[in-house]
Amino acid sequence: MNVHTSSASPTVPHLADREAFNRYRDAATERYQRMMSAVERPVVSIAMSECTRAKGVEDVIAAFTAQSGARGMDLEIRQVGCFGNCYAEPVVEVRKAGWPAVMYGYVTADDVPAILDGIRDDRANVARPLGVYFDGPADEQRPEPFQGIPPLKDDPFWRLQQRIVLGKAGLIDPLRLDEYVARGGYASYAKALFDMTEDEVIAEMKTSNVRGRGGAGFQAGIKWESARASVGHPKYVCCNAHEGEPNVFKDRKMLELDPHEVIEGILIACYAIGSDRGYIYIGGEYPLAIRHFRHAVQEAVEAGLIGDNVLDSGFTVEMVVRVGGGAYICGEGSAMLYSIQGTRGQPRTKPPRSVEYGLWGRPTVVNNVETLANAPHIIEKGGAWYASIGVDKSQGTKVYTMGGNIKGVGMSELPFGVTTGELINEVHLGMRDGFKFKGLQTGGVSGGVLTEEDFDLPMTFEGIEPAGGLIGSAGFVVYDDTTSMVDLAHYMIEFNRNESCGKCTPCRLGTQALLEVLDRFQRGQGRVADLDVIMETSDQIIKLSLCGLGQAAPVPVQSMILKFRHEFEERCIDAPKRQELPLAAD
Amino acid sequence: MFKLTGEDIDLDWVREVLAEHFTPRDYQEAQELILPSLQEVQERFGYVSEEAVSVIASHLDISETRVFGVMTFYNDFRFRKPGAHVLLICNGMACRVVGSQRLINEVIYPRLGLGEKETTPDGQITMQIFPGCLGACDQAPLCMVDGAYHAQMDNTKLSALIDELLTNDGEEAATTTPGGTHA
Ligand SMILES: Cc1cc2nc3c(=O)[nH]c(=O)nc-3n(C[C@H](O)[C@H](O)[C@H](O)COP(=O)(O)O)c2cc1C
Ligand code: SF4
Ligand code: FES
Ligand code: FES
Repeated sequence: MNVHTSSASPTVPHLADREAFNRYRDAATERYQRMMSAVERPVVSIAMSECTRAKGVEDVIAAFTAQSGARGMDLEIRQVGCFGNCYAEPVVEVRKAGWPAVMYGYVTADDVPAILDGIRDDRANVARPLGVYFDGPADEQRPEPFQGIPPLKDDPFWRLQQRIVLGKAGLIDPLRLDEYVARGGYASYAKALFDMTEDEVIAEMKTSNVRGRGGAGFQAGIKWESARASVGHPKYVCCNAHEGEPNVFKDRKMLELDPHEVIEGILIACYAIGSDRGYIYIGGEYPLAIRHFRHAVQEAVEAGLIGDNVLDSGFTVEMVVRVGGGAYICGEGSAMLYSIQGTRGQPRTKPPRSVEYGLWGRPTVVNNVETLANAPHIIEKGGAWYASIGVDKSQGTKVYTMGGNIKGVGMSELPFGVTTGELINEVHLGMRDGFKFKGLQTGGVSGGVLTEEDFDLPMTFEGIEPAGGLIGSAGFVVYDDTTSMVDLAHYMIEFNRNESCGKCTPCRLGTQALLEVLDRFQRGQGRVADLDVIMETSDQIIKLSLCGLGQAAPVPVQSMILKFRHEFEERCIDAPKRQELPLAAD
Repeated sequence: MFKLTGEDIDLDWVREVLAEHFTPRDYQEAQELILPSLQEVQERFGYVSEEAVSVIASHLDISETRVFGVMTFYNDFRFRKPGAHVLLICNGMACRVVGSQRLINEVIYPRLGLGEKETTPDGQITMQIFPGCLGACDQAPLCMVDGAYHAQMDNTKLSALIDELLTNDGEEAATTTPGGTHA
């Protein structure tokens, strides 16, 4: 069980100045491009992450290593971050000179001989190829079918995707700084340090209109500007990677498959607001993400990208990694800061906001992983470029994770504006055979339910709001018509009841009250009048709670009652249509 | 208050590690190090004892009550030595809609008779229901044993897994809190 992405990373040289960085980058780029062009030897890249481990990728790696050796084949076998197409994992990408890159899916150890023979005999169409592409899904080139394997660009999972923060997913080894740098990594950081003032960096962020990806959708540029303007020293940047919400796994994947991108984002934010210390607070349940991130920090320190007088620019910064203790509420901005301070993580009233009074009472920027991961790209290509992607007031792309009874379980990155229907039925490939769509739970456990009627709504911060949907942390779950709404409502309220920090009464007692009423429904002993009680109590909890947990806790339940009222009525003792329904779980 | 016994926790090891990796520059940092120190101990021994709390408190020069207060707030900490294996059942929503609650009701409760974080009398299995998401929803319903995934569980597979865990003497120490810094 201890096999993990462990390809020996080369020692990292200390980069004394920008010149040294440029030389390092040039050498890294040359090596990387040479390797990826497969001129010396074919390249087998195996996607490695928590989910591929669950599917036995370790056996696949072992098979490739042992059998290529046994055949006397000279191969570059590397482990890379995953591509996000969990449904097809384990995924293996093969590059051979003269071939376009071929991606194979659903690979088991039994497929390895066929793939190896194929590489040797120039037959790519073996096992289960998913498609061909030249250099990564971001590439605009549209390859022809190769030996009958269709181009990946036409694959429904990839067709609508536009990858910015996931642009290097599957293409680099997350444990190698040189591969990150070879694909343009840390160039934006150097550009900010040497070619831009702090205010220029902030101006680009504001032009881009990139909004917070952690839930609330607040404009990051404005947050940075306020923190820069706040008096008080030192200042801090805290990257929120807690992600304790059920259904949500994008942040942890980003740390797993491209940790340096997040580090670069944090460093750029530190520079922009005048902070010399960046923090990251990672949820404790994600060992691989923590391991990869720590490794990346170590590399950046060795390279001198974190430390005193970075690249001789005069900028000094350090990075502190903190690990969460398994309390969902610690994802809330102020609670996270309290947790870092070594106290119980309980939110506080605002104002003052964190940008004025944050960690240790100092001006602090709290941003989500994905928000910060966008920063290097905005600095590289400009805020105007970023703002040209997306629609309305939602600019750029959004990473979604999709679970439930759907074929294309996994992670996608789409420009804002793709419709709900496209997200479900195209990108994530529609319902599993034999299952009928019933609803889409949006925003982790904080948003409402969307139904088939809402399939035309654009996925933007505002677009799905009228139907009660929430982008939030963009962890969505699709469920089928065998799922009981009463059971689901009960589950979500129970989660929030358990995770309530207990500081304010409406949330602490209100969620308990809701749960007790829902308990009765679950046993088939609800009353029709109870439904009004739930709705009213929910309104009160939403209005009176101090933080987002309480304010969001009843939202899914209200939405379910609005859209599936009959299911609740069927569980009432005084309803005309009363029916003994089995619990969904039975 | 809990009765915590810590015969298995090597306090000298704790003191050494604290001195080497968790020595604060100032009081601010000392407070920041409460959680990481507790995580380090749990990472190594699977739980944190009262004695270990005292050692941490005196090392950081912070009151024991404060350290206890922090520790009890966070769900990950264990106050008792866990069993030879830690069995996590994912009960996130994606697992739930494909039957994790059924596994809990039909296999976990009847077979193990354990509540959350409890351990079988023979010390073999500690059971924990994980309300979040173990991060591999396409393999739902999912369990994790000592950090290794067991995918697409059903009643039969889970029952067989439990049989195996009950008889296996558990060579690998069960530590699932990845908080330690230099593991
Ligand atoms: C209960 C609760 C849990 C939250 N969990 C997270 C989280 O895990 N990650 C996150 O980035 N934001 C989370 N947030 C939102 C944060 O409070 C905050 O808005 C966000 O980190 C700011 O970053 P952004 O502007 O980049 O989105 C949570 C909020 C609440 C109320
Ligand atoms: S709303 Fe709930 S979680 Fe938030 S501060 Fe109040 S009690 Fe705590
Ligand atoms: S395969 Fe990587 S997100 Fe699942
Ligand atoms: S909900 Fe169980 S693995 Fe995601």
